[in-house]
Amino acid sequence: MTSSPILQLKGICKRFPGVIALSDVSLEVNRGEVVALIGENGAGKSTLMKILGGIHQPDEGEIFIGERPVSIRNVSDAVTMGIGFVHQELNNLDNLEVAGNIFLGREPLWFGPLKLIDRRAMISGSRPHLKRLGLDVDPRVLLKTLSLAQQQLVEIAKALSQNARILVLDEPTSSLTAGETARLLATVKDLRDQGVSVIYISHRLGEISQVADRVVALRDGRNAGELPREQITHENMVRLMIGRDLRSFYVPGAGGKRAARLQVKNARTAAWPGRAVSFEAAGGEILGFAGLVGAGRSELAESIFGVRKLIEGDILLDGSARVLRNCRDAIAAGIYLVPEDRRRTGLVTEMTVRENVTLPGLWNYTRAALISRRAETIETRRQIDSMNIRTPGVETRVMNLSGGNQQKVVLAKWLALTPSVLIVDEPTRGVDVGAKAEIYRLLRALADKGVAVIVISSDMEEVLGISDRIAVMHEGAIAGVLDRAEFSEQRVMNLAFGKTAAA
Amino acid sequence: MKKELGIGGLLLALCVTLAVIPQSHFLSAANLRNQAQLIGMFGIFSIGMGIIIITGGIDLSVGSVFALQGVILSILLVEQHWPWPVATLAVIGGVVFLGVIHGFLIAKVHLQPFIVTLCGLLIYRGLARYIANDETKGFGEGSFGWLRPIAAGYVGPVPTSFVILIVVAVVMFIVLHRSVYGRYLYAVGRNEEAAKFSGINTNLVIGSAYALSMLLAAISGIILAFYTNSISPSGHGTFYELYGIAAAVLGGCSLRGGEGSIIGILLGTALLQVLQNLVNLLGIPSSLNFAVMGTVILLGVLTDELLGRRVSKRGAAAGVKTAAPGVPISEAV
Amino acid sequence: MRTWITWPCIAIACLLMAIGCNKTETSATAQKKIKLAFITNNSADFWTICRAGCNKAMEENPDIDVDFQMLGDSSAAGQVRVIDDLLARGEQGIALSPVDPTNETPKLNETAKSVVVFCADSDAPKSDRSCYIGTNNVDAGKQAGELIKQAIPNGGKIMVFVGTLDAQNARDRLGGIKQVLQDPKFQFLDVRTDQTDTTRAKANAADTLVKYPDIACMVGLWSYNGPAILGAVRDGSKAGQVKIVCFDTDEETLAGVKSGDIFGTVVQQPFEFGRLSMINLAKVIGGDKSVIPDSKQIFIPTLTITKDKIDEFEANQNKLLGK
Repeated sequence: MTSSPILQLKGICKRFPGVIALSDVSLEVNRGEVVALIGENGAGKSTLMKILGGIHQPDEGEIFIGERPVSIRNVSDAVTMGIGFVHQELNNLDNLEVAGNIFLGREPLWFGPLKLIDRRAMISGSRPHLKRLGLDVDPRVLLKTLSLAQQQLVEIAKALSQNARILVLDEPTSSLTAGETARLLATVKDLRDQGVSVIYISHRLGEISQVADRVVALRDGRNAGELPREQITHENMVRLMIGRDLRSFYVPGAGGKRAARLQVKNARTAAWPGRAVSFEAAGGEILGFAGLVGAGRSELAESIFGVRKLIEGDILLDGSARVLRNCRDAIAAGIYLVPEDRRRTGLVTEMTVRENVTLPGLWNYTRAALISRRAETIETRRQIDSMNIRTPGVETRVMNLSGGNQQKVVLAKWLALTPSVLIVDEPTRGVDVGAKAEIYRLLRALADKGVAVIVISSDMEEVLGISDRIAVMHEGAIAGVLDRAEFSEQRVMNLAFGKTAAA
Repeated sequence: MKKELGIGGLLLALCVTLAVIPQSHFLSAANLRNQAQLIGMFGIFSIGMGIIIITGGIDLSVGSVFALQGVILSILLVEQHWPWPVATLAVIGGVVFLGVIHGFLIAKVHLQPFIVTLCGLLIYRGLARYIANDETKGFGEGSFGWLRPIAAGYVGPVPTSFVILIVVAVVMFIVLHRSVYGRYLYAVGRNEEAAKFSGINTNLVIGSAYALSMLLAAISGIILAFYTNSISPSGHGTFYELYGIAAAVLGGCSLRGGEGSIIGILLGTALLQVLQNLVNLLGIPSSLNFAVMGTVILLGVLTDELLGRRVSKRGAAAGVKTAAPGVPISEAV
Repeated sequence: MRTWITWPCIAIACLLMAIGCNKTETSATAQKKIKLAFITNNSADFWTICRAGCNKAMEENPDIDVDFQMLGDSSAAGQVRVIDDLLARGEQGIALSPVDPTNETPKLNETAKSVVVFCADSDAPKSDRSCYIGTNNVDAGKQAGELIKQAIPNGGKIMVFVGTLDAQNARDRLGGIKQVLQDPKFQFLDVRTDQTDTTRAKANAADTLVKYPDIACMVGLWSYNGPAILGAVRDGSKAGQVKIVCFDTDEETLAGVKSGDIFGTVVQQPFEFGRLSMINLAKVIGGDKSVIPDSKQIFIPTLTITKDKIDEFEANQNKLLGK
């Protein structure tokens, strides 16, 4: 069915001062093919895509679109050549309406020299693209009223409206729920069947094995190998990315009955004031929380941690009732939260590793009310060593670390104190595969020390792999709790969608 | 630290230039004393302004507070004959109370700092004029116990305002750069949400910053009142908030919050005063006063920015080589 | 939150209504009176004395009712807004000190079509105002020049201080001084401006003492310049050595004259501005236009106050202010 590749990158080299980002990298994409591009953070995926998008110029190498050699000097070159990008962080203006986003920068005009925007043409022009993606929204509504998944589809619609023949999706599912992810993957398959070529970048290997026709792996700025459709398996992909087998990705728990450390009784949050939640988390276990986004998992976690109001309900720690009016009370009690959005609420990214690690327990590093930098540095070094945080030093600003290492710094904030209960919301979002495994091991080690670890995750594979038990939430209530023996993707999905586990 | 070096360099260059120009009298005892007096007065409240800017806020009400405070102090001392310690404490307490109100409205009710303090600017100016009945209030030649010697006297050859500034700067240096509260101020200024999620009582930190700043403003205000010795309620202190904001921002405070240092604020204050001194000493027409100030500051900030960019580029290139494996190249470049 | 904010709002609304009602009552009783207004160009003691003059006019002629408007922000825009408000309230005559005479002229002309307009203190000579009552600032400058002559008969360096030189009265006063002191032994160094920032005014004076240690005389053209110069001279321990000549009657200035540290001050008579402008406005409205001279200018003479005349002046002043 395919003759010659629609896109070819040949022998691409790119050097930055002091570092070689890409060295002799090649990539081919055929018409109507989904190519997954995988690799750890820093492997060169972003640089390669920036060259494709005209943001960087390659030092060596050629780019062919069809048979024709081209040079992509800027972003608009890429657009005219039919290359569309949907970025991880959505680049849309959520205060504009849907149609305004789709036609951003090339709004149809009328009224001659006055250059007024022809809103009607914009709206009617948006409809076919939205329809093609199966997105049933009014192009006149403001973008911010849509869900993240819908916003993502609007981005794709924008690219398609520019006649994109090659679509680059960079981590498109990192903020989506399981259901939304499934729908997006279906959309990608539809687009492929319509002849659009897709370059799909993701850390989620499960998605890749579902959607990709071919996998291209990068490692240290070089081609690390390819996998045809029939060889795409988890193990093969991991081996290509890290250059060796990743043994024991998930570490199983020891099992056995343990005493409950955290008990939550009849808790009602503002997100679902009509639903009460009760559950227990034992010391030594990892309790997974699965469910759709909007099921109230994060709100519940934040309410237990005290940053949101708990409308009603009791929280017992080691059997005694605690009044947690705010997160200072929770922290004093040893209940810690690693929040969902680490850049917004987990870290002060402009501050250094040291300042972040010591922030919650700053009084522990004081002498006569003054901070001892030495004590801070000693503790931070200890955390860096024990968690294998890869940072140039304790005084490095956190914003200069990779996602995985940032997440480890958030964990280090709490491990520098003494946790009784650790709630981790989306522990590996935007974290590469090597750091993922380390974070899983860390969480398991914490549990083994007697901490009750609660992991909220929208990554099905992760929640099944890491948990000892899984509580599935549906519309603000716990739809069911599964023991390890009962784990299956189907059961979790059924509960998450409000059916019974057995169905 | 880079910013401080830049502004310090600019200040030094100006001072050296002024010192070597013949007949400029820049280094004469009288001129140094005058400059110390002014830097002391403006420096104290600029530090307060800097603290607020570090939390990501702003205070536009300072100038009007000076007028209100001066008018009331004069009335208490001259017309009501209150004992000077009582009157002084009452005025300082009152001003701090205004700061507490600002802090409450901003941190607890979540009004914008710009709006709250802009209303302060209008309200206090109006109150000052009303209370003074639009008359200029003054202190005449009375000494009011130790108050005038403290506010407008000398320790040896050094004006007390400068001595007070040094004491305030040392204390605030420790508070800002060495204490838990100081660290919290920076954390709140950079990312209030993350600070809250780390267990910091962000409302208290922000609210108290406004009270602290007003305490410093009150000290400055008393010195200022005795410096001019007469307070015209409509004109006294007008636009002085801008001197404070300019000093803080020149000294490296970012209006987005979370950045700045005491040293920087002191250097910024000194630069603003020396620039005005330069205009008079070089015999430049005073109509050019603001233009000279604006030009020199702009040039300084521009040089600082351009130099800073080059340094950080070189630093980044060098940093990547030494960076541990795993630091994402795309982010480091 | 919402309930929290509601009550203060209601309270403020009630308060405003109460004040409003109060106002209408008084204006109802004053219906038969001639309604006059006086608008200042800023707020200062100068105008407080002027207000006393207006009150005196009300005593002298019980038929007039004066609305005295002390302008807060010293801007032409603010003044125009006050004029509009007063017209809306039905004033019959307005006396004002225009902030920006040239640019307010059209507004004054428009106003003069419906009510009688006087300029006081500062003139807008090209407008259709019926009359100007105030100081002849050139003459006042000449008087100051004479004072300087007495202060430094052998001549010397002179520095002049003022808020801004774009104000007509500042230019006129400076012109008057220079007319008198044409002898080259009087050496004018410069004019230092401070944008009415009193701290800057004092710093300017202090810088001058540093830069010109042999300065003979310092002249302050605006009322706060006198105390500012006095403060700087005292801080520099040069009191008595450097002669100070200034304008107006700031409390500090008068105290300085009394102690001898200020050689002398030229004072206007704002009390007369207020009194005479109100009395004459009432007369013109009543149909008696004879009070306006052909030149349409009534000059109230300025007085020169030195140490020997200060006690007499203060006693008189207190009497006017009813102290």
